[in-house]
Amino acid sequence: MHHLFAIGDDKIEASLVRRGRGYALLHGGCEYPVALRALEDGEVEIEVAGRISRARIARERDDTFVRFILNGECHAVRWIDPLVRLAQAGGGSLDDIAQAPMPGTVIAVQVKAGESVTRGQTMIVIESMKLETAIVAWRDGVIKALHVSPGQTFDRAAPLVTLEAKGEE
Amino acid sequence: MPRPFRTVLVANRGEIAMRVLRTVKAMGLRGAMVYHAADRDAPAVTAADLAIPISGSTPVGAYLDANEILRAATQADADAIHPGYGFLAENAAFVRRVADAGLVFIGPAPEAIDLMGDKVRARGFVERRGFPVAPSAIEDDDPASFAARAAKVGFPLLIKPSAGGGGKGMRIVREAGALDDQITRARSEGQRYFGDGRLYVERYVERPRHIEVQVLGDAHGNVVHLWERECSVQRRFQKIVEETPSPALEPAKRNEICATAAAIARAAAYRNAGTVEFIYSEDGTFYFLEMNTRLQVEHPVTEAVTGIDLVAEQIRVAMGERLRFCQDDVRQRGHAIELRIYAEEPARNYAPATGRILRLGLPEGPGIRVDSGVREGQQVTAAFDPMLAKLITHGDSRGEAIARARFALEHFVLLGCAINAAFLDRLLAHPAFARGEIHTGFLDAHPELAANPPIDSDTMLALLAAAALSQPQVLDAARAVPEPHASIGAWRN
Amino acid sequence: MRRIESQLDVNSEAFRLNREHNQRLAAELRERERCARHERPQRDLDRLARQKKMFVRDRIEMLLDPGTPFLELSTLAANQAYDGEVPSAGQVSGIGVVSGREVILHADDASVKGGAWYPLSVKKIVRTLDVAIENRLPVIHLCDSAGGFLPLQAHFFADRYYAGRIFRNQCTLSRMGVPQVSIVLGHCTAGGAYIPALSDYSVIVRGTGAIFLGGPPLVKAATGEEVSADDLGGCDLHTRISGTADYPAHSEEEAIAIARDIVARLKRPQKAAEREESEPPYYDPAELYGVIPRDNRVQFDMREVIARIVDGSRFHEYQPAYGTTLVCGYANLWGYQVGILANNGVLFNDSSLKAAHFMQLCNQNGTPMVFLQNITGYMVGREYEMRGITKDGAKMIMALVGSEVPKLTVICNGSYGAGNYGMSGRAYDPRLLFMWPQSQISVMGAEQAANVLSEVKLRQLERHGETLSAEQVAKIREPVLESYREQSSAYYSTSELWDDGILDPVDTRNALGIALSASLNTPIDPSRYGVFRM
Repeated sequence: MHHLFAIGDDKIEASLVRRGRGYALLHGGCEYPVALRALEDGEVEIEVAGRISRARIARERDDTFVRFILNGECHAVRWIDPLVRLAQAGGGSLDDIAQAPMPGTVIAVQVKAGESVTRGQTMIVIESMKLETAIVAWRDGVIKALHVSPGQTFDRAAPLVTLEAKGEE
Repeated sequence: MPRPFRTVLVANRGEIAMRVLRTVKAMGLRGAMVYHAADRDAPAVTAADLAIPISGSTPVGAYLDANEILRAATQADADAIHPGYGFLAENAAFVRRVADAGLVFIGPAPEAIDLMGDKVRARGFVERRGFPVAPSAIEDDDPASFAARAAKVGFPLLIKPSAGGGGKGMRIVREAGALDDQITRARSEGQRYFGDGRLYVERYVERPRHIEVQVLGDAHGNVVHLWERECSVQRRFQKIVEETPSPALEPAKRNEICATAAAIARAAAYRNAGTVEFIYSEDGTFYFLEMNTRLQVEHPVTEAVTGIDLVAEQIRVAMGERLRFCQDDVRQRGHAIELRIYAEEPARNYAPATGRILRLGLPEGPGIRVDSGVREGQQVTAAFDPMLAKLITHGDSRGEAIARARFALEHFVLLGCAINAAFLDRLLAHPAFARGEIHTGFLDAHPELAANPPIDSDTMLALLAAAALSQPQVLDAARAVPEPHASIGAWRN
Repeated sequence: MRRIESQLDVNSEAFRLNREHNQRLAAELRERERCARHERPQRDLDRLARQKKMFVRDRIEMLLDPGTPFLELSTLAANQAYDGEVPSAGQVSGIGVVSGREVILHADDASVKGGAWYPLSVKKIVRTLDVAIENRLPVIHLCDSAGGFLPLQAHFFADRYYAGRIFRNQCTLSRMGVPQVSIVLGHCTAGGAYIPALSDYSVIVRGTGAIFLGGPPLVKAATGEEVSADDLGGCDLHTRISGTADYPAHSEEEAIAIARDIVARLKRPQKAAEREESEPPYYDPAELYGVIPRDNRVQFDMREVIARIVDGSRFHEYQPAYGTTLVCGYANLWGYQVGILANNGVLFNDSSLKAAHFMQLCNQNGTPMVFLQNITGYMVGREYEMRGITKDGAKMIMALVGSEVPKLTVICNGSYGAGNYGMSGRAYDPRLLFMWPQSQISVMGAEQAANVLSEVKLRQLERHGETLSAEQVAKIREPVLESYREQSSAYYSTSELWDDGILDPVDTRNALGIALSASLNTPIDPSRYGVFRM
């Protein structure tokens, strides 16, 4: 099973294997010898099949940030844990969780756990970039859990509300 | 009589807090800061002589809480409060409470704030004194006929909340059919954001340019202008790039606009720093838009070309001193540009971004100034406005200022949170920008600037290699494969 | 260690003709394997798609670590049985790497008769689990089977090594501390239900996976109860209520990801030997095609084979001057030291004694042994009987069976009679045994058997004063030659699972490397021999 990386909106499969004393990247059916070397001034050298680029990189948790020295371009690569991705892609989960479309703050929570909601009913009101958005129920259901409370800030894709799975109600 | 301060409390955060503190300390005064727990890693907290925690139901709420600010001022034994911009900077009630507490508010008098804060009232004030305003319809004049009068202003038009400002709650209406619906929505937003659902409507100038003039008045009736700034490059009515002088103005027109601004400020008996904003049309006509009774985000470009420290002047005026220069003394030298570095993704409709600043590197060089509100290791959250820093460059010409701005962007390193730096560079490189052909619809007219350029396959492989070789789970999986299997590779019999 | 000096003339006509011949055989092998692995009636593939199931090989590729090898066993099982309708006996079995651990896979191929177990399918599964036991390899079961093929139950149900042995082997593995993970991707019915139940960990896919002792039709027939497969034994019933399965999964992909995560938790075994840096053979393994004679009665020097399999072509030959029809010595293979025993002719007294002695040296040293067979048998004749050839052959077998080091066998050409035994044939528990495409295996050569049988008949008739015409002799010989030819080919052997697969000769090095690594997961006990008839 290959690893999955997200660059922008694209999801890309790739894997790393050992080759001799070094490593190779497997992608698109091809194999590329790769290396990452730290340089003295905090920069790194990224080598792919003999091509070298200098960059500054930093990683936190599953995000690697790369800024190429040559043109100043900045990119973020996110490693996606297959277990998390596959669990979310399951027929059940996607249907049941509302995720935040972008970072923001919760202004109001209008429902509570256990409450029944009808399609179109506003459950949570969030604010982002001075715009208010209502998170409405996308189907009739029962609130299984609320993951945020008023005044709380959240990041993009953070879970906000979970409905009971259809058939569990 | 001038009343010198010992301690100034800065009631703000981020880059403006750092910037104000810098001048406060340079003037030999003691600088105190307030900060919400979400800002505890901010550089201003350690830069201040005294940092006092404040709290609120939300992080932003803390900085809006007059009680908290005044408590902090008392605790700091402050003589004066500098409000920065936003938050309580244009809150007349707060200004009065500061005075009641025996402190000095570093800003205009509350009456000026009341006057100019009510956009309808300000507009009326300016119009009655013969200054140019855009054709408009004001709801308060006759609510019943407002919609009909609005339609008569002509399309396209702009619906604005009376109590609004800073570009919030404004809507462009291009055809009559949409008017009623947009009025309803604008009213509800006005109610929600400003506690006031009243509206007014103005004729919208196509490809308008946003020209504003810095003014400064003292308590002795002296008012000068410090020339104009052009802030036409905007998104969602918020400024991204500002510069001075405006590439659109000939000297005569510049003088006319700036003199108008100074006259307006004088008519309002304006004290301390403020900015008069105009809409400028291609045919040379200009209309009063609004007056901001505070220090603006983009003030550094004025400082660069005039050599005047506006915050220092604000403090002196607040201490009761006379302006030490007259209008003729205020000269401009060269050209300055400011770029706002936002934590956002232009390609995703400028959606705000979050993350921890893992690496920060600020550019240096001749004509480069960086006003930063963040430090390495700090968490950028959705709790606050996404502006992280400003890059201000100054050159002998506009071309040199642009070149220095691009150099500054090239050397501005921020890893860990998405920022708009690459987008700004594409903007500066655009030939229309180089020619000065900008207007407030510039970004809408050039949507390709916001889009991320496609990544070529070499770059993608380099990114994958960097990520794979940095991600522990990926490295561990590669290292876990035993020998001789790793050496045999992907063999099948 | 000195490098073998090849005496091969790669430019000779013989080399060229041999190479063409063997390349043709290798190509034929690849094609037959390709068909067995991938050729399926469209309706079976359509059915899989309708059921939202992945093809078994796609499941396996997703399960294995990228960039790692997979040694598939017995690809051509059942190729000469069941009218050729059950390719690979409906099972995929092999040794691979999952989450960095060596494992053995047992996978039902639902595209072949719904994954039903034929007698040879059961034999293949039992063999897979025997390999797991002997080499302490964790097992991953990919379960997706319609159950036993009932019309042939007499050949897979009751006997000791029939289907019951599967579950007995599972228990043995568990007792030994060798874990099993089941991924239930389809039905596990009747006996098959025990596979996940006897696995230490099991994952089940919601909607397609099901475990039940009796399926819906059987339940309806038995008690009249009408119930769907999912309600009877589906994911939610077993992961939430009965506890028969451990991890629910929304999809096959998720199930495989969970299984990989489970394997990642397992502790790693210690190897019974140390590994050095490896190097490729000095001589090109592709030259093997030219080494093997196109006429399988022609002798060739096994050193040329060894030189194209072992690291650096280096070989430390033992007793180079004595018993020259058996070549033996040490070499490294993918970094592990092995003791190689290979035939350069018939086994005589001296070569038999040499072999027995060398096997004891390997056991003394904890060195695994690799047997390269090309043996027509032990020398016969009065002189050799007087010298004790039978005793010497017996000592060779005694040394073999007393060995505790792992043994691997490759039948490179001929494997006849007792020679097969002494050189570690199937009955002598090599951990894995492979054949080359042109190999022949039978109690004696076809010609020899035909001669013996016609000789016997001639002698019989002579006693009555009769004789046989050339035609009548032919009539005795032809059927023998025919049946021997059919039943002594590598393809027949592999169909019956007398071996673990046919190898393209150039794949031998990698196959042995992987097999060797697997075999060293088991600690090596001290050898204990019976009585050597001296």
